[in-house]
Amino acid sequence: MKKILSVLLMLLLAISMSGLALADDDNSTTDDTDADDETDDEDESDEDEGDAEDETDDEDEIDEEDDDEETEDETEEMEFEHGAEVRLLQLEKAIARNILRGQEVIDNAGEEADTTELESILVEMEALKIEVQNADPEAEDAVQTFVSLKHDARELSKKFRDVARTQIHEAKRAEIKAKIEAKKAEREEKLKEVKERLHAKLKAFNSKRLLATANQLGIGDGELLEKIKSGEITAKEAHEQLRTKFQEMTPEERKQLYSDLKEARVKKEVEAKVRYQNLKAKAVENQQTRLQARLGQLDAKELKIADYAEKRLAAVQVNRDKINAKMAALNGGEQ
Amino acid sequence: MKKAVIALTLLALVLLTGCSTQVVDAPEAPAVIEPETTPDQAVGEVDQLLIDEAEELDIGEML
Repeated sequence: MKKILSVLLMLLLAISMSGLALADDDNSTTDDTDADDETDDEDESDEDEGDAEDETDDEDEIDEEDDDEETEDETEEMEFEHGAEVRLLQLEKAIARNILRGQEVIDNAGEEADTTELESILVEMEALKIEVQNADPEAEDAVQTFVSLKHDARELSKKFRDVARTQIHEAKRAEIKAKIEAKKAEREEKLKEVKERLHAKLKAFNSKRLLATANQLGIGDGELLEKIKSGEITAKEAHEQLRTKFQEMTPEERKQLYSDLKEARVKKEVEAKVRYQNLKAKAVENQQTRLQARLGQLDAKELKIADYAEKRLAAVQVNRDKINAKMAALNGGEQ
Repeated sequence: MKKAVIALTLLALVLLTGCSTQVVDAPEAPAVIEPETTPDQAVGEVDQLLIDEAEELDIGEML
């Protein structure tokens, strides 16, 4: 009897001790950190620098993830009529805007800054813009082309930013940023032509999508569909008319329609997600070939970019190795 | 005999505690009343199919 009681008491004690042990672990972690704080004061500045680098790396990674999600979303619409044209025009506008901004950076960098590399990057961006203009939106691989060209545009902007940071000191950069901001209206005026082309394609795309949706859902009378088709009413007006139609429906009808639309959207998003990973891998894999062709064209124009070309090709190789290593690590982790 | 009674009592206690814990761990799910779909929600879904004119393609800053 006594033995049983003592065994039970031991069990109770062991259970209550496990909670305490866990709590102790938490405390010991805090204590360790405190101790480190006290002893590592001298190394603090070094650590701060390390942290700053880590933060930049982290930011880049977060940026990359955000960009992946954005690009993934952007490719969803490319399957539909005018969708690829819209995305390519948006890319052209973004590159054209960054070229103008980049030129303003160079113009205001001051004599002490060496802008040779920055100028070469802008030359490459110009070549990239022409490639975007020449891309065939109806080609079978239009989505792959868009993902690849956007990848290059993003990388060139980042490269320009990184080089500018090494050549122009912080106070001067802040000054240039303010000047660039002040010139926004002037810059946007220079983008007027591409904006107009984009506006027309966007209008066509949205009208077609509205029309297809109205047809698919069996909503909207003939008159509304005709107006959308002929472009007589804007997407915004058609949108308002659709709202009225939704209001006129019974709650059950509306619920069914909402769930149909949602289901189609989720399906589209999943398909785009699966497709995008493949497209991105190909974009990285083929970057060197694209770059060689682009640099070859610039060379043919007798632009003095030999040193720059060498550097760029080396940087792309490093980047590709880095991404391949990352992918291999991810695949290894999954297995 | 005494030992057997104690062992049985302990077993019963353990079983009872286990059962009561299970009851506590699995509370009854509250009844969910699905809200009605509003016209705004339906229009919102249609919006997802369109491209906003103000939408900008982000390729990063230059400085």
